[in-house]
Amino acid sequence: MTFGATPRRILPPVEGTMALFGIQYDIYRLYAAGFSIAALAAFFLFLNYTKIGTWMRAVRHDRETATAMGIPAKLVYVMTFAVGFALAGFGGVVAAPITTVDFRGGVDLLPVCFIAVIVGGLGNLPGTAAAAILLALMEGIIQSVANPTIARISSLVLMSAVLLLRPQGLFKGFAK
Amino acid sequence: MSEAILRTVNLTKKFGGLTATDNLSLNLPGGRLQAIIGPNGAGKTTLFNLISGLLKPDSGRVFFRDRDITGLRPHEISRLGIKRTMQIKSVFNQLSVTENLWITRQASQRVLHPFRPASRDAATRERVDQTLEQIGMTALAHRIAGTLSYGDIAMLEIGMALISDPQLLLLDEPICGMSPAETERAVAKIRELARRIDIIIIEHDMEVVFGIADDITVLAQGAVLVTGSPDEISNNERVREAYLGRPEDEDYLEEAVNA
Amino acid sequence: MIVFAAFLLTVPWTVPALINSFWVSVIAEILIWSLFAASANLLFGYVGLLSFGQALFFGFGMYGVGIGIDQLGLSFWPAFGLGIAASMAMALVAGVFAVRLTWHYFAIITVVFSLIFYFLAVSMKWLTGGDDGINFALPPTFSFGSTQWSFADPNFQYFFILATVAVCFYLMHLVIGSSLGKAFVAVRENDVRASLIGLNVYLVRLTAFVMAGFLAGVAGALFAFFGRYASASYMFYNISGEGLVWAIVGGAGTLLGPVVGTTLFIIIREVVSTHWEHHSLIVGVLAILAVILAPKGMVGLWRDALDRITASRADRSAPAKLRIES
Repeated sequence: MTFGATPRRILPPVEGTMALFGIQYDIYRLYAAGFSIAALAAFFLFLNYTKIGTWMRAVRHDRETATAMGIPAKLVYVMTFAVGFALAGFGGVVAAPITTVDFRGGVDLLPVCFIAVIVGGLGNLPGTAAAAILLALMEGIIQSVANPTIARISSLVLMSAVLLLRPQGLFKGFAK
Repeated sequence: MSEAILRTVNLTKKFGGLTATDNLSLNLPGGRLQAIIGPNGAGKTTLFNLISGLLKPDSGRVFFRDRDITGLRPHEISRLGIKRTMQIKSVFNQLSVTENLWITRQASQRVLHPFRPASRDAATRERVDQTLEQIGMTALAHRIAGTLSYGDIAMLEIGMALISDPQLLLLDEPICGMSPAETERAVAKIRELARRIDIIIIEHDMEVVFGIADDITVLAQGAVLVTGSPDEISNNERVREAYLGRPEDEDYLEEAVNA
Repeated sequence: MIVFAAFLLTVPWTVPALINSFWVSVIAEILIWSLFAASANLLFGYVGLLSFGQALFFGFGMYGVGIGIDQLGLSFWPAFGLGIAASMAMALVAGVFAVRLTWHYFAIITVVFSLIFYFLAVSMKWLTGGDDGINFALPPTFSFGSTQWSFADPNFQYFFILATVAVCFYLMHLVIGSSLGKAFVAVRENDVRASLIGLNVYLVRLTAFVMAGFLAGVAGALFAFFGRYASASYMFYNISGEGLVWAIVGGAGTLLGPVVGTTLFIIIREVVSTHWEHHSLIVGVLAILAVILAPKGMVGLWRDALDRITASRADRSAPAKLRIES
């Protein structure tokens, strides 16, 4: 049975470990990192160098003007939704062997994703990626010195601080 | 009465690389209808935004009747009696004309009673009816504001500025977008109001400005170019330059037109 | 409306006769959750603030009662008071920070706040029992001499909940019709214009936030008494999300919209779950359909239908008026 309420474990396609910085590191995790970087790069190129990507950015900046220029705004929204879905799905597939397969996996991840988007700056793709890495690093570091719940709570408190003090995001970059 | 109703001292506001307001010092006496004109980008609306508290200046001060209002929040400035209309007409679109006026009147009171029904307030009801008559919109009292014509929305905005007994009225291009008939009506109204209330008006329509203003201040590139009476301004060479460019530019234009 | 109210008053007798007495508690639960949905509706429908944090205040109300009775040995009314005070205090503290933001920033910070306290509650198992929660004995509500009225009696329980919820809705009705209520709508419609007419937008929003916290807290406290139970799992933001969905599908910005929406979804949940375990699927599909087809909610649809009926009657009687420009 493929679906169902119980979480399931999946074996990674590439097993084994390799020595890295003095510890044994899962090879698959390196592959996962590679896939993610490739996907992000591809999306970045798509967004900035293809016609549809430019349409997306145009509609985001000023929907009315974009429509006046002949861009089908509604279609763009649908495509954006689809691309977002696809990226999330891809992320899930890549992450599956590392975490467990659980239909509720998204619920815990969602707030952190929103926070990464806001801390990185809305509409700022490199900023979001940087923010996500920063958040993950922060949580990881805190987790190694304190228990997981405290780690969670501290990173959430830090996120609130950013939201309150600098809602436009920590990174200036390609946005607007 | 010639005390300064509004005074700014070295008011400066920059947006990134753009200096919208450049060390602007104004001294506008009360009791006279003041007009502020200038070409696009001169910083007129920015000035209003700085006065009404929607923007904070980078440096400089704003005085309302010798009271320093620099840095006060918009609702505090409104409570002092400074009311304004916006360049892009802005009312409460989903509410009716009456409700717009009602809420404006009640907002100027210090405390909003959370449990007494708003409609019971007889004093407010009277004032709303009065204002509706003043602006000539009694027939439209129950129309939803978002469905009104542009000229009517502008009139409603003026009504909202009036209903809370303003000490100073800032009108930002009130005529913009009105039909000739609506313009006549609005100009007559403004002239009548100017007899009782201090008004500062930003306007592009020169006929209107020269018709009703007592004093005109010309802004260009965020600073005062010249101040004076309508006659002085209409004959001023530098004002003409600021709007129309230099005579050499006129030849350039002619060439382009004939090409 | 009157019929509906009359029906509600007779539930403990009519419902067991028509269906079965289990449904009396279901209706009591619906009333509690309608109050919760109403708190989300006050913020979203009237002030334009999308809050995913209402579960936080619900939880504080719930735990105020639970901890009050279990650990502090309080009786009914002090515990009730503690729950409400706790949720309002939390709403004030959270609101002071959250209300400084708007739009998606506000929504996200409400999620973040509710997550912070959810994790705190889960980690402080000694106090809160974490996700499993704490059970407690139910003290009587009123006791005069030897007679006692308590929630152990399902009829009393039902009427107490009905009375409390009705009072809260009446208070909401008063506020919405007051000048404060008009200020809410003004701030929602055009916050720049609102500040220019002299409204302190921040204070108006904060007031609404604390009021909504009060409503959610009362709902939480009632829920604790209802179930003799308090659990951190009700503080997670998906509970806030459910309240919002119920309010929006029922009709955001209307007084009874939340009641309609909550009733609809909980009845579906109860009816379908006896036959099929995936009732959430229906809930999801319904929510999507409702948002696409009836953006003003059920109450909105109802009002539009009424308007159309009265308009067609009016058209037939009055001739069209011309507006002449003078």
